[in-house]
Amino acid sequence: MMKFLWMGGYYPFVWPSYAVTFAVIGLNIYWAKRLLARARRAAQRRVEIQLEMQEEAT
Amino acid sequence: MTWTWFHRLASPPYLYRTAGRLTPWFAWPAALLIVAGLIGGLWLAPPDFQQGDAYRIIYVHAPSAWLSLMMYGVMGIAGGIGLIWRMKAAHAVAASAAPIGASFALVTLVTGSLWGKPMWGTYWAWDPRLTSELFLFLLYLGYMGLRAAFEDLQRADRASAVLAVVGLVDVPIVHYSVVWWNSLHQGALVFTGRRAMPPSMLIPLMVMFLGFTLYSVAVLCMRLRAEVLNRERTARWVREEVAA
Repeated sequence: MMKFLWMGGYYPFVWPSYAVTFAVIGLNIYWAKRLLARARRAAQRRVEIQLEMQEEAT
Repeated sequence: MTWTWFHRLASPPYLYRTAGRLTPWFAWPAALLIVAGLIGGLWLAPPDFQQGDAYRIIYVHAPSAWLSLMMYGVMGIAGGIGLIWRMKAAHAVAASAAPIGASFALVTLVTGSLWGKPMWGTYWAWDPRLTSELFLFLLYLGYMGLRAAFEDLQRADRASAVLAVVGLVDVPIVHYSVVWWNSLHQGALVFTGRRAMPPSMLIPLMVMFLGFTLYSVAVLCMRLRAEVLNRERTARWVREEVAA
């Protein structure tokens, strides 16, 4: 296991490369999910406001 | 050849629902392929006879570089379609592709620097490949900055699409920079017509390429759905969609 982690002595370059890549992969998923959830919440809020306004009008 | 599928994609509700249906079909195979590629690249592939284990950076660096170019291609072509046919859905695709491409251009630069230090003795050199990739990253930032500078969405779409289309010229420059100029960067390894890598090294790389590509389409679908919802906020179908 130590040999694997050692990466022939190149561990300070190999592991940070993988860490940066997978951090960005994870962040892209998180940002996309958050954007979609926000857009859905904003759309739902607009529907609620419209319904409230309709109720007030009647 | 029928183009009805293409014309249907111009309809925001159809695009929103199609993107939603497609996301898991791209995301799960992407996850499996990336895990398989990691096992192959980190455990099963032998060390390189010159670079030792440092070459294993290729399994994240090359697919990231491919995504940075592919997403720019998507952005430029979608921007062009939006400009020519005034298709709002195409502008939504371009706007959704930009942050994904920018993030992978940054990953390419960072992982390239980390690979360059042990191999070339420096984190950075003003080499044609590195410089053109940096320019690609700056193009992405310019595209996103330009979009953010306009309050009017239609003007933002048009102006940013012009930049995306003009910037397409950088994509072949990045790709062929190692052929056209003397470069520190190694030449093409994969589609060269000669056997540059043994299968034990090449297969995990191909698996990672495919995994990263499917992953980027899945994330693009998710971003596209959010973009379409925001653009169509006053449409009846959006009210029905969120009320359901």
